[in-house]
Amino acid sequence: MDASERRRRAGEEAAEWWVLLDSENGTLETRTAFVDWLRESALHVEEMLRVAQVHGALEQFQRWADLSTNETGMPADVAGKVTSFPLPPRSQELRRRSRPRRTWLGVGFATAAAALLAVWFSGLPGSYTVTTGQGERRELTLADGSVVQIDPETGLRIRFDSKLRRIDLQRGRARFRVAKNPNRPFLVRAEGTVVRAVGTEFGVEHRSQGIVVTVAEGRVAVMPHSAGRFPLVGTGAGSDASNLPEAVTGKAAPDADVAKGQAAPPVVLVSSGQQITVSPSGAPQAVREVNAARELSWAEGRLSFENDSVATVVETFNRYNHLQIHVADSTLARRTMSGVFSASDPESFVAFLQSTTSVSVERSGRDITIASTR
Amino acid sequence: MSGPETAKRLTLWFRQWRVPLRRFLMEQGIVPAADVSDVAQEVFLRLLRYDRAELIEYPQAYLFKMAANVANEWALRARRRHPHESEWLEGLPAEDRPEADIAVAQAQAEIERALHALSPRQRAVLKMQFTEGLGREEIARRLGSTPRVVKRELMKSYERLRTELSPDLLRVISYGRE
Repeated sequence: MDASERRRRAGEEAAEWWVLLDSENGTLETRTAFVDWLRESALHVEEMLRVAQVHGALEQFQRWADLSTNETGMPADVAGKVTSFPLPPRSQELRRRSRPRRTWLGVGFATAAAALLAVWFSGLPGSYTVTTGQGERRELTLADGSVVQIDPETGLRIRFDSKLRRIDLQRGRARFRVAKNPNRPFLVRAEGTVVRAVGTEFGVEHRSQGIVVTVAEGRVAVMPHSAGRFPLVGTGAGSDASNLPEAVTGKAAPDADVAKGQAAPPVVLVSSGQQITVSPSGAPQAVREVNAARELSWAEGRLSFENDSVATVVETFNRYNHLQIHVADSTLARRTMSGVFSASDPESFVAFLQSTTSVSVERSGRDITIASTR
Repeated sequence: MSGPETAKRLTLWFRQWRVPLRRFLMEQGIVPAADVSDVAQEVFLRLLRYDRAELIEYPQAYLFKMAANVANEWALRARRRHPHESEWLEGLPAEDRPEADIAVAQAQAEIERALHALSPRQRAVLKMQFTEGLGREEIARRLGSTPRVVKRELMKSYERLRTELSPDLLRVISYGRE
């Protein structure tokens, strides 16, 4: 069970405890079970506090009188988006459960509506940082309605103001579905490369060969590191998002620069179905056509490999899972393979290897060691 | 469960934990640094250290009292620790900030939108509970249903709203910390 799954379960249980204990103190037995549940995990405590916040929000809600309680009263702009995901059937049982849960994607519908806190924070200046750990993926809805899917072991810093939406991708990778707003450009920076979007969907990744930008929809402008004349780069900016291009974004829209020809610093336009890699030195490579859905499938929890070494594949799986795979010899590590796997299912990868190569598999706790057999 | 004695006991108990709850909600509202996850971690540790038998007497009262205290301590500590890099501190919503008012209005709209993700009956249940303060039995009577069903609708509503309103955001968003 991965982290988001545990959280969801804890959230369900917390909601049940809340209602169970809301109007009566409960029997000694109930209260004992509740205390033991709380003392089982910090996550339980956290989810309980979150449910309390939900309750707080409902207590603060002022428009109950106008709230319709029939089907037709639902605002059209909300209806389709939020209600299209059915709630799972639920058991009465509070503790032990075995039925399948909503998958990670299920979080999507929630985040579509998750802006509440983002909205609260949007009144505040300053930035905030999001970090994911091993095996942890997140989906965030930002204050402007844009959605960010964040891969494991990724760090990004978000800083919005009235003119710009800026994201500093410090490490890892993320996929962005940008809410359209031509007056407030959406900028993603990774190393020195800046990607500018107005309303589009794209992924930005730190890879060993450099910064990789893949566009699934619309078009983005990529400003590589070598764009020395851009005020945003070459400033030794470090990782502070506040160093993102103030001057650029306000006046010089990349599209305009391109229209003017070479007068402006190099900007590469990347369209839907295309990908560009900017090497660590800042040199952009040629834009290439890719299957964007496949290239960005990691955001949906799918890992696809094409002639990648076993070492790379294992490293990728290890980032997504607590279960860690180790490759015992370099011959196997160098072998290349292709295939599409579910990120949360390293076992299927091991099984795949076993079926195609002669490998030995050794398990001990959370570790799997694979070696080629000669 | 309906004698005057029981009713009195219930009222007392109710107040005993609603006060800490309110305090917790206030503290966490004014302290962006104290993201819920960190507060929860600390509360969790305190719960482990605390006498179990006592906790069992009034679990929610203890839980929210601890949470309020931790959130409060968190704010004080953050203020002391980051006296200079206090960009976010200055951004704290003071009473008279117009941005804060806008944020509040937006929050109202958000809650409303989230409520529309519930079924009409769930909305009806919540509405009766929060505007008229009705108990489950009375709500059930009006809806021609049973208290058990009402209870289930409430559980579902809270769970749904929890994901609708804050999937990780409070936990994720931390100001002034790296």
